[in-house]
Amino acid sequence: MIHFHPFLTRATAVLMVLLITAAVAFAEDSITILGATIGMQNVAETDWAISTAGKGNSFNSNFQKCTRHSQRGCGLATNDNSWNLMAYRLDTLLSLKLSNAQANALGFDSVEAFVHGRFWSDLAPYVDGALPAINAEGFRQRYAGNGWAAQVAEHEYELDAAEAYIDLQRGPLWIRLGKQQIVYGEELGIQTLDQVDSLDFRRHSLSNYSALEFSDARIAEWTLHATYDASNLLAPLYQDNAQFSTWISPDFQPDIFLPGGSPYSTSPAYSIIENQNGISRARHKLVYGAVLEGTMFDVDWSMNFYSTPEHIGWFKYVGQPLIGGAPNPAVFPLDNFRGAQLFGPAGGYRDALITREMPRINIYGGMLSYTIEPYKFPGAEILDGAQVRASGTYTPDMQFTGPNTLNPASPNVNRPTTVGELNLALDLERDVRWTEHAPSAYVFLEYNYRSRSDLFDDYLAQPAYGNHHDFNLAVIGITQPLASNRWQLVWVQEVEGNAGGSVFEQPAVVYKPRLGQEYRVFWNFATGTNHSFLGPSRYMDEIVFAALYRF
Amino acid sequence: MRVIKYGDGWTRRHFMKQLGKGVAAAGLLTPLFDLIGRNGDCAAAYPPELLSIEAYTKGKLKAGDVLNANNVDLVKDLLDEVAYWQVKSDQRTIDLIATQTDVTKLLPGPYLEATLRNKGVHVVGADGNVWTKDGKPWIGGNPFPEAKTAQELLLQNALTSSTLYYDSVGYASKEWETNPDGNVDYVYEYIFVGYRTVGRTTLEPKPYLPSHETKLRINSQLFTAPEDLRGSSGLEIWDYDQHKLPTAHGFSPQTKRIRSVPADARFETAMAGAAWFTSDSSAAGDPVYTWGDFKIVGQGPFLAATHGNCHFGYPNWEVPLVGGKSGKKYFRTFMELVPEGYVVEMKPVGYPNCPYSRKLSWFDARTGVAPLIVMYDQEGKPFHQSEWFYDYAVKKPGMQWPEGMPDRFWASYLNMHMYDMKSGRMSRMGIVPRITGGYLNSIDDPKLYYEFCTLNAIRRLGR
Repeated sequence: MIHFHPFLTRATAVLMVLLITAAVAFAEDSITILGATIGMQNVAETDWAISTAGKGNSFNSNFQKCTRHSQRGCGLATNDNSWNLMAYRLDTLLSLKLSNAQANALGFDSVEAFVHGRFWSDLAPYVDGALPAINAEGFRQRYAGNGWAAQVAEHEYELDAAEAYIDLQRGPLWIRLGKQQIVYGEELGIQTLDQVDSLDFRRHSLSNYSALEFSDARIAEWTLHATYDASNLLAPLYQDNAQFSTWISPDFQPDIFLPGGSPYSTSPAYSIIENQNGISRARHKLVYGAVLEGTMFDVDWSMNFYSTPEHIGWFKYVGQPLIGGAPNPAVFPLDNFRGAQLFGPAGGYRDALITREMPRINIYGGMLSYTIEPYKFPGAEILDGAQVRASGTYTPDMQFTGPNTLNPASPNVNRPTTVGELNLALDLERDVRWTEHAPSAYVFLEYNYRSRSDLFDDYLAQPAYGNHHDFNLAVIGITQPLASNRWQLVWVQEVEGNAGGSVFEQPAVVYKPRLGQEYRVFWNFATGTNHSFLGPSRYMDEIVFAALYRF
Repeated sequence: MRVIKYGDGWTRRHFMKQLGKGVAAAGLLTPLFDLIGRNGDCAAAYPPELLSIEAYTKGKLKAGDVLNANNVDLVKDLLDEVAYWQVKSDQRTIDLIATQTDVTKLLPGPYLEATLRNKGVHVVGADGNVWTKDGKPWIGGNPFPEAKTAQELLLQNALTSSTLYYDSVGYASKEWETNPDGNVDYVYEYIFVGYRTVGRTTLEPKPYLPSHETKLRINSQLFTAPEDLRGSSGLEIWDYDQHKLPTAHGFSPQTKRIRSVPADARFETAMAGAAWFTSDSSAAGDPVYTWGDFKIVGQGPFLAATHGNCHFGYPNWEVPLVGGKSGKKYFRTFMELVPEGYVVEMKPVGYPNCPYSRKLSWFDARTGVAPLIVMYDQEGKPFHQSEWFYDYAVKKPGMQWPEGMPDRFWASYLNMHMYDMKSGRMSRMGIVPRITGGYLNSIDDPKLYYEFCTLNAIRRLGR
């Protein structure tokens, strides 16, 4: 049963009609003042996600049957929800480019600045009575020093500077200073070499349209990033496109999770992750790294090194879980609202207060990429022009939440499992023209192997994850544009083999009818168990309607 | 007025005879290139009926007249079938102007000087590529100004066209995509950059960028509007070997990083609503030997916008529009009678399921420039058409002159039509004084390399 709020529904319908019928406006996007060019571009977006799961998110109901929120332990239940999301957002891009003369006067060839402001609001809890009105945006996210996140997050909205930086370029040297994403690696949808920035799981960022990848989820950090183009310098060594990059950031930001009560939460409602202590210890730790990359004999290559506190970290209780064999109330406080019977019916409904540690890790990696030349390879039609790519990283001494780390009765409680992790990705992509009557389809195949954990750093060699020792994920993506590229049909499937296997599918249709307008409809569909990697997403099965208006 | 010395049909018979031989030979009365080398003027190479639309039509049309549905049949044999249909059936009009005989106003000075200086230096090697007689890569100018074969015409186009006849260009462009009526659905803004690594005549070091002799050029494109494409940028590095597809890298705002991408999608529409494919951009829009069966299938005069199309005098460089149901589908263009041209046919031998069966390119014998290209579908019907509009720009009072450009120069890119006969959609594009983001036009600027033509650059410019 869909619970539509009459006013909001009407207001949105009026807005949609206005957008669709609005005259095409060719506004000037930039103006010139004293020789410098100042630009502003905006995009307004609605994202409506209607649940098709047919079942409430069991994590929010602590895996019990909840019929109403007033039932003990069901305060955050989302059973019978129709909406997953009713989000509205506005992104504003501001740019400044000094004239060549002004840049030269400062000793540079070019000087540009860029700020990306972002406003996001989810009204679903206000239109769907099945959703608890939680502080999804700001819940216990604050900690000393997070003012640098340049963010205001409350119950209903989140406002932040997603990026804010200045670019200085002189000849082969380029310096970017400010709040910026640092992204390397060419794998898509997984993170092998893309491990510099932490992720923000709010804003529907991981259930969004697949082509957006992690761009809205990565947390830009205040960073000094310098790159030197050595393509001419190293050309005599048969190196093309050679570049050396390095960066340092004093602004480590950890991954930001969704709280219990969100339709997208995958943590039981009784577990409360206290960011404060763990993050405070990770604060003031530097994030730094370097990348050397180039092309040799038509093979693109890179060597990567990153040093950062762990983004997710390992979890532990905020104190000694048991005192004299009884639950420590400072760790397991009684809570009939969201708690669970963690110690049997006699123990009452309790929360579990958890924090996380983010020890420093060093990541060593690299990539090789090659485009198969047409007409030279036997069986050319199959692989002609295909891009073949292998990426890999090794992280020694990675610390995980181990099998007993959160077992209150274990002598190893609150202790991590320390082990090295190998993360490999192999992908192949190409354009395939099935017929002369339609444009080429872009086809993407990818395989990801992780030796110890899944994409959320869950340590797999424990009963909760089926005692698997490694992680294997296959991804296939096909994008078929239609004539004039105004319509695109997209299909993405992820298949993972742990705990009985799990599958995630996202078929999508994208339509750009005219300048400034874009519409997307996609279906998120998952199967699997709670212990599998993709299985929990089955509680979030949904059809998403997104409308974007650019002005 | 000059006396017509050659009677009716003489020129037609001459061209038919040449075509029968299957070879090109520029100049009817005297070898064209010798004449250009002497004083830059080509008038003495042609009889009057090839130098004046008035003489050609026996006074029925003259420079200053407007070609429209009522009179286009008079010059049907001078137009490609797409342009003829546009005028006859879609209300397009074309202004006729006098033929330019001063070849120094039809090409950049350094390019023409290098062409004259390097005459006879280049040959087609056993591998099909252009080499100097001592086995080095191209050293600049048109390597085959007296091209004899379709292959030579295409090779000289492949070497020169994508850097648009200069050592480097940065063209700040706007593109309007219209529906069949001519109403604009989409507008894009981008800067296109071409940078030569061989055949350099202006930028130091020349003629080669050291250690880049196995490359031909670097092309870069940065989108600055609309918002969804803002910061999308691409880098194509073209190999000197005309058998190899370029290597391509792209930065996408969605993935926030550079990725190497397949470059074999030559027959796709890059932006929503566009009416053109990557392959359509020039006669040799792809590496030459990914096509084949090269033939000269036509020889003679034709109408083309080879000069007279400088739009710097219009407010904000906005070219008046004509035609289509909206009356705003086509640029108002100025065309001259090109005295002699070659129509080269090529077939897509290297592309499975290619939507094209063949491509025809019209080459101006005076310059080697190909201002007109028509692609045919598998049923042999016209599918796509590309028209380039050129001029020798001269600064005049009241003009909004492009910042940083010389007071007079041959503009290798002013405006273009790219038309889809099947859908009726039109892509109109051209340079503008400044695009969103503040990027400007430039020619032979050495700074373009680090500003746009490296991976570092497209990562920096990406948003």
